[in-house]
This record gives sequence, structure tokens and C-alpha cells, in this order.
Amino acid sequence: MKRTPLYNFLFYLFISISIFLIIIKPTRFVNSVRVFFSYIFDPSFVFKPLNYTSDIYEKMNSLILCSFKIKKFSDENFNLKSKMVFMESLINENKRFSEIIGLKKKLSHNGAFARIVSINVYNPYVSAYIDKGKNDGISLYNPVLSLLNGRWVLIGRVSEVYDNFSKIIFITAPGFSFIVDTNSSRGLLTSDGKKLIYKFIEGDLKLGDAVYSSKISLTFPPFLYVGNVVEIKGSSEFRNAYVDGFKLKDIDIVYVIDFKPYSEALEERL
Amino acid sequence: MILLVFFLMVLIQFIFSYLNISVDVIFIFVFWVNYRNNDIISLIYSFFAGLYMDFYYQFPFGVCSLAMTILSGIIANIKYKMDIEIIVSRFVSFITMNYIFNLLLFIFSLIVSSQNYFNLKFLYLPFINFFFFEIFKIAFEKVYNKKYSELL
Repeated sequence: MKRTPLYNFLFYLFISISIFLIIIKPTRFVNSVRVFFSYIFDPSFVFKPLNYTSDIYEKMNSLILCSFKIKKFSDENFNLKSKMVFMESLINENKRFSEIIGLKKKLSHNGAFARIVSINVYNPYVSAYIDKGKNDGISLYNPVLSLLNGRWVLIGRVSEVYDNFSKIIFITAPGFSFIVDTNSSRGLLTSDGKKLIYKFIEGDLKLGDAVYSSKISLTFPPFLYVGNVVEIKGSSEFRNAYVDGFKLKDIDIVYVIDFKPYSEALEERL
Repeated sequence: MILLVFFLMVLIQFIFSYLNISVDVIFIFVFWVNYRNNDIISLIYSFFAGLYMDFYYQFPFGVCSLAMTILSGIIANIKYKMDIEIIVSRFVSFITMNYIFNLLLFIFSLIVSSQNYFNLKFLYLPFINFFFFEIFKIAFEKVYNKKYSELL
């Protein structure tokens, strides 16, 4: 049998269209058409032919409305998700601030919160700069505390004050010393630049004792927590103990106490 | 007229699928139209029936229309060599074409999607299809009281 050119043309055209459809895989379009027709041709057609024909407009209308609503909710969902990106960090920060404010109430000293903005890279445990200065009520020699593991810890004092920032010197700086107490002992706390050394003067000392600024200290107000005794060395007459100090990586917000050492206040008065 | 046949096919297919009767109504109609009409109309009908089948079944899209177009080409080649008025000839022709069509669907789907669509229904369904084909043929001829080709 001889084929007409039109037949041959149509045959190859349909074959080409079929192969083209196989290649492009219009899955989304096909699924949309399937959903549309499955929605229109619902089983009620068999039992309620009259209702079926009268409901077409409403069904199509609801389908279009649903599409608009889906688009609207998708946009809304996207906006909310983009806002939620920072939500977790904000919640954590808020929780931390609440904790700090709660602990602040336990402090009997007035003062100001500040952030460390710069650290001495070569000798990080010597000094740092904070973002509050004279304009914020910071004065020279004010003690500086930091919140570590839910507790305010003495970390240093203000050594230089400028209008909008200040320099603080850490208690771990070499040569820095002040009198400290434990429950049953008194001594001098110094530093070799790496560790806090408690030079024991008198009383009993045991591992784990908490070390506080002494009530006779002229440098700091009394009873500011410094650390715990972690190691005791030396003879029975003269003993050194090591105190676990703060870690710079744990310091976030500091609290500068409005306190003037006795000697400095006296000098000012004179 | 051919459009009417197409819509009739869609309607019967819909009713059969709703009643959960596993009969390949589309194939039956395509086979019928291919034997009763000229080649070009048969080819167009087969392609669009295949396209409808693509929307209806879960084969990779385009596979059914390709298989239907090829099937139409095969039938166009052999239909003048067989007389389907004789039941044996009709039976052999129908069953063979149905198996060829199923085989084409299976092979194309395997090539396109690497999924095995083979079903045991492929083996026995042609016989059920033939049974319904005979019923449709008698029904058509009784309703119109003449041969289907004359209507078209």
C-alpha cells in the first residue's frame, strides 16, 4: 500500500511531538491538568448529574480563589521564614540579657554595663578596651566584673578613661596584686601573666575554697568573687595556691562598678 | 463524527474506570477506528487518544501517544491484508495488536523512566478487551442498524 505525503507528514509529526513530550517531561503541567479534571469530574457526577453541571462555575471559582490564596500564603510564609532566621539568636540574646539583669539585682553596687571592643592581641590577659567612657559615668580605677557561669567575677579595673571608651587592666596582668580572702584565710593575689597566684598569709586553705576580694582591700570593694583554689603548693609555713581565673573567650558583657578606691578618693579630697 | 466517537470513548472510559472495570476502552476504540476509517483520520484519532491516555495513566508523558501513533501505522499497513469481519481473523488481529501495544508501552516506559511497568494484567487483559470489543461492535451495529463505516 502506498502512503500519501500528508499521511507521512502527519505520522512523522506525531512521532516527533510524542518524542518531544517525552523529552521535555511536562510533569507540572500534566499534574495540574489531572488535578483540575479530577476536581471537576468528581464521583458525584454519576449520582447527581444536575448538581454536577450547576456546580462547575462554583468549583472553578473556588479553584481559582484557592490558587490565589496559596500564592498569598506562600509569600507570607516566605516573609515569616526570612524573619525567623534571626529569631533564635535574638531569643538567646534576650534570655542572656534577662539573666544579666536578674543577676544585676543581686549586686549592691551601682555601675554601667559595657562591651569589650578591643583586646591586646600580643598579651590578651593584660588589658582591653571597653565601649563606655567618661560620658557614661566611668571613672578611673573602677572595678570591672564579668558574668561567667551565672556568677559575677572580678576581672580587672579601669586604668585609662576617655570620653567614649576606657582601657581596663585585667587582674591577670603581671605585677597586678590585691588582698583577697577565703572563708578561713587571707593572702595576696598576684599574677605571673598566665595564672592567678594566691600568696597565702595565714589561716587554713584547702582545694575548692572560693576566693573573694578582701574586706580590707583598698583596691576593690569587698566580697567580689575572683575564683576557686585549684592547686596548693609549698611548705607548711609559706604556701602558694593557684586560683582558676576567667577565660577571655567567656567574657561578653562587663559591669563597671561605680567605686573609687579609698586611697584615690582620699587623694582627690586632699 | 469522529469527535463524537472520541467523546463517547472518554465517557465510556470514565464510567468503566468509575465502576472499576479493567478494560482498555481507549485501545478498543483506537483499534475500531483504525479498521473502519481512512488512514489519516485514524492516525489523528490514534495520536489524540494516546495523548488522552497519557493524561489518564501514570506512564511517562508522551509514551502512550508515541505507542498509539506507531500502532496506527502498523494497523494501516496490515488492515487491507486481513478481513476483520471474520471472527478468527478479528481475534488474531486484535490480540496481536494489543500485545504489540502493551509491549511498546512497556519498552518505551522502561527506556524513558527505567521503571518496570510490567503487570500481569498485560498478559490476560487483551482477551478481556476482545470480549468487550465484540460487545461494543454488536451494540454499535444494532443501534445504527448499519456498519460503523457508513456512519462516518
